[in-house]
Amino acid sequence: MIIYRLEISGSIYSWRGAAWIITAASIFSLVAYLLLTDKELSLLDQGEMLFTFSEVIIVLGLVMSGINSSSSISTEIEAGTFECLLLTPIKHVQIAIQKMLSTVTIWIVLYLISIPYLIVLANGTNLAISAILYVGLYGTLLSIAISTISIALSWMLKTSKNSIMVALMIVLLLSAPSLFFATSLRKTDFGIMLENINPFSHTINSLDSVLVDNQQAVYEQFTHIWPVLVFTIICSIIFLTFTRKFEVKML
Amino acid sequence: MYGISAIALEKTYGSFRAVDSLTFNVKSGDIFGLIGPNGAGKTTTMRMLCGTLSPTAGKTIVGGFDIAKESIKIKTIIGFLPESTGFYNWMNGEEYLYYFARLYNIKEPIARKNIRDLLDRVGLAAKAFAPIAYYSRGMKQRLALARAMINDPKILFLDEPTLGMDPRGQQEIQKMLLDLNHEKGVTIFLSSHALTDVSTFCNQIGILNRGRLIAHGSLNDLRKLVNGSTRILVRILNTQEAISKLSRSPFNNTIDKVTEESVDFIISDDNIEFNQLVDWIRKENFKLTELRQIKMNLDEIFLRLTNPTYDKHSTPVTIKKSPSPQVGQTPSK
Amino acid sequence: MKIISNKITLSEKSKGNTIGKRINWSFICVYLLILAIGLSILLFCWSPIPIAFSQLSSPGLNSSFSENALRINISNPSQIIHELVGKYIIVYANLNYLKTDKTSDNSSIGGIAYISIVDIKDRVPVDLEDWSVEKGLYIPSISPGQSLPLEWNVRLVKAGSYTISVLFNENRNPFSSPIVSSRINLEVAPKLNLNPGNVLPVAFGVPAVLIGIFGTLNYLRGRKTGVYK
Ligand SMILES: Nc1ncnc2c1ncn2[C@@H]1O[C@H](COP(=O)(O)OP(=O)(O)OP(=O)(O)O)[C@@H](O)[C@H]1O
Ligand SMILES: [Mg+2]
Repeated sequence: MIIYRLEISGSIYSWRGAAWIITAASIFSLVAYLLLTDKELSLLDQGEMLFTFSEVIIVLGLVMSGINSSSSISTEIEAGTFECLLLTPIKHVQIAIQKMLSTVTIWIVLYLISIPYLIVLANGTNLAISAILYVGLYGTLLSIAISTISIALSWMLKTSKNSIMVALMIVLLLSAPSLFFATSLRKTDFGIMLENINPFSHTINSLDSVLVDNQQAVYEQFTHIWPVLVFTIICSIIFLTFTRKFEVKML
Repeated sequence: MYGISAIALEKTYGSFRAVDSLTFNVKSGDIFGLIGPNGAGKTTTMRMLCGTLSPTAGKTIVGGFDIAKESIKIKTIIGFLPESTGFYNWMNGEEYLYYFARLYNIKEPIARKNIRDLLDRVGLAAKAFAPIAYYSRGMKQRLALARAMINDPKILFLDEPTLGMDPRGQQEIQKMLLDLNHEKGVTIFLSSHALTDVSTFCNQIGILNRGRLIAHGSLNDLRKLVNGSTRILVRILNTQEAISKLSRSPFNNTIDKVTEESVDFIISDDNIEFNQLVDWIRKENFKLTELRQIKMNLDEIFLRLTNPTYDKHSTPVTIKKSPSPQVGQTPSK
Repeated sequence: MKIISNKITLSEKSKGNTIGKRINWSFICVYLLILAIGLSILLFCWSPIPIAFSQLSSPGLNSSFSENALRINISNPSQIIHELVGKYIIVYANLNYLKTDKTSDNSSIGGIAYISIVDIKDRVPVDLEDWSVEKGLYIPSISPGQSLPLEWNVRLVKAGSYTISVLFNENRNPFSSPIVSSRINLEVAPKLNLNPGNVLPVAFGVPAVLIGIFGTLNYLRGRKTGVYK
């Protein structure tokens, strides 16, 4: 776990991860403060508030995972540090896995930071524990999925510009239907089909039903959990097959 | 036993052959210098020998291991200084080396000791704790070199090791590498454009041109490849008839320099008889002030051998001033 | 001494344009993704948008006097419900199929019972999507003399005044008017979640603590590496 340790201290000392965490905390503060103090917004039901806030956490986690993991590989390729790593007697998959774990660690820190906000927002309801658990579950699964797929991509694309862009597009592609399209648009056949295969939609729908409709039991959410799990597993398999061998190439 | 062998090594990018049927051996304990114009394929070759680039065809055996099968074993016994190394700029030199020592599975106390040693040897001990971002170009190159040696390699690959270093630094590094070679028998494989250094430093030299090894051997071996590589400089007092007599000489001579006092001329003929020459000088009554053999240096050999219009059997051209080695021929792409 | 190759010819073979022939993966990926995004947006826009709820017609006055003697009525105890926003209420209803002599055929009837909630102040029906999980209840069959209890869980999403009615569309005759219950009133009181006392310490504390932690870590390291003296 040497590379992992380096990644973690690098993200603190080069401010790469630290910037994400501080930015995320500021966004959490802003959203939570608005939710609880703005007259219009505070008319929202508490479950609704928690749901909105959970969405913010998950989306931030996804964007962070995509950008951080793809840049952690591609910036090394561009800076020329990657060739030295490849010279050491370490399996290439190991490098990729440790990089992926470091991104997931940043997600976990981000998630831990969000917990006090969730508790404050859930104050006076029975939703606090569920909100924390479900956000943790879905966030971690999706973070693993996005990190693995982004690393596999930057493994092939090699430049940070391309791989960050593609990673962001994947995040956008997953989240756009749930975040930006109106309910009626999503109720068409095509929309329903998309929702059924889109792990992000499952996450959002599940959080909605937990926090807004109060269906907190795990078995009630299982129909949403397994597609996300399958997505994560597929991404991991792609990741493991693509990161087996790295070829240095001059560009 | 050979330290490094390449057998019909080949790398193609699309239809472009960067390295073309390369076969050579380097004995262990040798210092091998690979030279060649820009884009000749030196870096590509070294990467294939170190296993960071897989060849399109052919085989490489390094330290007795086949790279296709036992790349992890090879990686523990080789050190490679890539053409351009990047650094984690937030680290300091000491941390950087420690990180790599750990990646090579070297235990902490030994690693710390080795690092202090290495930093001393490459002349970075004073800056060991400064962030790498503050290092100068040459200092970074020294650090990269230290990194390449962190695992006590038996075989060291150096892609332009002294690039960006000051003259004293270049000498220090050369001395350090020589010591390493003498004391521990480390095989060194380096590529460089500093041909003077290569000719004094390496006992085996290979010339690569457009992906093909066009010559391989010691400096003297290479000289034999080039016609007129042995030349004799004769300096005589400048008299009225000296120059006209010279034009009637039986030798293949060229006037090199004429001053008020003296005339220099160069005789380039591989099979010259010294006695004949002396007899002729006596006969013509020249006042001889200097007579010396000039051996062709690596720069000239290199330029001759890599010149696309050069034909080995044609009469050599006398090169008056050796141009800088960077003016090599770039292959058309 | 070895001479591997001393013939140096300008090989025309190596002159081929390699860049043009190689597949640029990154471009293809980006291109495909843009295409996919564009396509999905297009498809979303083209699909017929159901003009949901805007045309939910108010039932005719005399429709409850159905020829089939079907009745539907809300059976909540009070005519007016007061509740806070965010809470749940249950709307109970009864569907009756009265036995009458006039009815010649005594076969059973099926249909859909559904709820309608109209915002009085905004003068629009509400979007049931947010308010109720089960909007319509399908009743496969009800035979004469039978009475079916129905219920809807309604979540009070927004404060305001509403009327609630329940309706039944029988499926035998597609052109018959729906039968409708009489309305009851729903008053949803706003609940303010104004809670600055609780959120302020967290909202300002967490980022400050984080900046402090990372700042200190970097400062300590800077001292060690000699960046700060
Ligand atoms: N990824 C690649 N795609 C296409 N061509 C490449 C690629 N990498 C290298 N080449 C080509 O291979 C040839 C050999 O390159 P290489 O870097 O080995 O040269 P070099 O001898 O090290 O040159 P220099 O002295 O400039 O360092 C060059 O012509 C280069 O253009
Ligand atoms: Mg090179």
